[in-house]
Amino acid sequence: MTGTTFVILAYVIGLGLLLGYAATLWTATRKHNRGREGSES
Amino acid sequence: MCTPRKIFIRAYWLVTFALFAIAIGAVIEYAPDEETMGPIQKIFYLHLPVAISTFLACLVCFIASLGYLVQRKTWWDDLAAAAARVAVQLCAVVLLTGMIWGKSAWGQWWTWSPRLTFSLVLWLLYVVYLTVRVSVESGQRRAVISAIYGIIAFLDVPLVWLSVRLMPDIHPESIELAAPMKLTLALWFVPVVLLTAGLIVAKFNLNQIQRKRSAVLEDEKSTAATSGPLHWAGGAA
Repeated sequence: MTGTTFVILAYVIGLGLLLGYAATLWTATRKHNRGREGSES
Repeated sequence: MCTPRKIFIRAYWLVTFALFAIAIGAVIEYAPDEETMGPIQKIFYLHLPVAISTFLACLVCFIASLGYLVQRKTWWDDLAAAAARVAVQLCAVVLLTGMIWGKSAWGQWWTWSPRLTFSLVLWLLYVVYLTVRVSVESGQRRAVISAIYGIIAFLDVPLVWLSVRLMPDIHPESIELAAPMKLTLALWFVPVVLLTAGLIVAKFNLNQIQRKRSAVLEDEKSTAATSGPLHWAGGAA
């Protein structure tokens, strides 16, 4: 593997883990809020 | 309906992602290759800000743990748990990006140097923190144990920070950076710190929602338990 491949690999894994976790939290919060709105109505 | 709070949250994440896009652009187009390491040094722009953000998340967990022990308010416990969860995620990124750098720069994925070892220990400490939270059932007991553990776990942060200065280590203590490299690094700090703060707040809000929901469920259970036999007795009479 070349240096550039290592750099791309590091950024894809690193940002993937961080932004993937942000997406997981966003989905979970949305699900909870929908459930709450549903039970309130 | 879009409340001002929702608009603020959307704008916050939009700005964060836009800054990430600018920072990635700076790594590709603006930052030059380092003379001795070549392109591999570019991992540093992600690795260092995420490492500093890991320490910040651990610090939030430490302060929130202290806050819980002093005030015994449940939101401190929720904040500590949120910060610990985010610290685990950030520390995993630090370890993985460091390993990729190590493979390219030193020819091996892992070496038991002091900084790498203390960083792995830090990750494990916070993974255990989350495991402890799951394994203790009683809410108040869990919060107290977690708070004490959260304070002890933080002691590893200065060890990670100082290890490279106090002990012989393969990990570089500092790297000489040209002006465009310094600017790119500064650019990366902004979205990574914003992301860290956003993740901690989002997880904290989720923890609070879950706490309220489980309290409602507990209430319903206890109401059903107390009204059940009475209802039955009334029915029999």
